Amino acid sequence: MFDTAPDAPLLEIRGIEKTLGEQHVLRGMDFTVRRGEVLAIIGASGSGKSTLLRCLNLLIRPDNGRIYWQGAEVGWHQRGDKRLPMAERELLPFRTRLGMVFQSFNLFPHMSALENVCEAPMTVQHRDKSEVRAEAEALLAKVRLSHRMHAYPHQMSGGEQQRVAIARALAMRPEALLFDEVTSALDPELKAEVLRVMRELAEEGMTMISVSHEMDFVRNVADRVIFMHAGRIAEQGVPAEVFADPQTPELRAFLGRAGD
Amino acid sequence: MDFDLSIWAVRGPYILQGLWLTLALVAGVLAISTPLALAVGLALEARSRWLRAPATVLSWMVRGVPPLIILFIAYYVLPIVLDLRLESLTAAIAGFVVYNTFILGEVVSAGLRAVPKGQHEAIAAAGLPMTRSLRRIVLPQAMPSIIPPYVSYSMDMVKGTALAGAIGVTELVTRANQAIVATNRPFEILLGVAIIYGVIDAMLIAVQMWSERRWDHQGHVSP
Ligand SMILES: Nc1ncnc2c1ncn2[C@@H]1O[C@H](COP(=O)(O)OP(=O)(O)OP(=O)(O)O)[C@@H](O)[C@H]1O
Ligand SMILES: [Mg+2]
Repeated sequence: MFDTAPDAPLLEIRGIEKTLGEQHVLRGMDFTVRRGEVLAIIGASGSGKSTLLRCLNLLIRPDNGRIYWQGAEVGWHQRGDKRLPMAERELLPFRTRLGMVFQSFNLFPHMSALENVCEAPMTVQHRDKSEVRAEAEALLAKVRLSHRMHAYPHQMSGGEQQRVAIARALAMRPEALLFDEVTSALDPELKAEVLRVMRELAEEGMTMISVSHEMDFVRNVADRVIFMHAGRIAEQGVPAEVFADPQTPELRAFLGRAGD
Repeated sequence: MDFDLSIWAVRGPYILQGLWLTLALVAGVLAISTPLALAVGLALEARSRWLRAPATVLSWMVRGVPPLIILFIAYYVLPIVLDLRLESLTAAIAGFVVYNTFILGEVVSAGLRAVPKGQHEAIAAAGLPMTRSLRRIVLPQAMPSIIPPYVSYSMDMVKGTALAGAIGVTELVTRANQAIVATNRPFEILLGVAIIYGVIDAMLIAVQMWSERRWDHQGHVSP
């Protein structure tokens, strides 16, 4: 489908910029994500983390910059020296390769847990119904929700809903997952069960890009952390090293707040 | 003053024939304008400005014109423009359909706006195609906010059908008026007409209650 290069990084972004309203939210972001890597993105509120994540699967179209998926550019066609934006329809196959989990879960409220998980593989990938269902049941078991398969979102706790959302994202057999502060809306005891699922996914080798304020998770699970400030990468590296020796006053202030 | 409902034994059949015209008008208009209203509602909320802008302007124009004027246009102007004969019932249906399509179109568009932004994000992020997710995910969630105003506007329309008398559709109210003039029995006749409208309203409320239950449970659709 894409003209991919086998040894290229899974995802590479170059010079991503985005202005929303009056605000220059992203001011040139560059990084690469290798297959199997867990990348954490941290930063103060308003630093552009959610905007960045939504640029990665083109829910938001960057004003400038390029996104490469396994070496092939997505989002634009190169026609001679012109760059034409892809139609929404052309983005769909790319989006199915990147699952996304949201802070507010965003489950489909009129569908049971099982139906939520089956919806996309059945309608997008047109896979066999019984096969999809069996896989969905296995995914719900994996996030420890076998007993809640037929519950509707409003009958579930936030932690349960979020684990259904993770199962729903996995149902498309994505090659990477995007997480946008997926535990921020949860009580501490519910956070733990979601973080446990995320840790297990990381151990299985899933590529993950996670905006998170869970410092323990970032420290223990992430291979690399990016600290964003004012739409740029202010610092990055191995979490333990970055946290032990922050170079910028912004990160020092951020870590001071996060430690409280 | 004497009060004698037996007047309905004589005039009733003639007046009730008007009821059938009224009901035919309501049924015809709702049947045609409902799918059109869906299309208008979707156009009003479309991502493409080439759909959104004309729909918005057209809706604003049509809803700004008194329905009676729209009926006159349908009855007097349309036949000239299209060079054909229009029966008054057909013209009335055409006029009401135009008006109702945009009134209900705004109801649909408001219902679509009531669906949380996160749902659209979840749909897009999963790579779900638009038309199918509209039907399976967006509309079921819009229904609870569409149904009450939809039924309420339909009730207005039921009463508004009396306007069709002005272009020669001898519907319920027109015939009741003729009967009043002929018999000088306004109380008996108007009481009967009020009861008839009350029954129609009650039926619409029953439809509303049924459909609200069907689309209830915080957007959960009953099987
Ligand atoms: N649609 C929009 N129009 C205008 N400004 C916006 C829009 N969306 C976001 N912004 C602004 O862009 C900036 C970055 O927003 P973003 O949501 O990416 O931040 P964030 O790092 O995710 O913050 P948080 O930690 O609070 O989630 C904020 O100042 C926000 O007010
Ligand atoms: Mg955010």
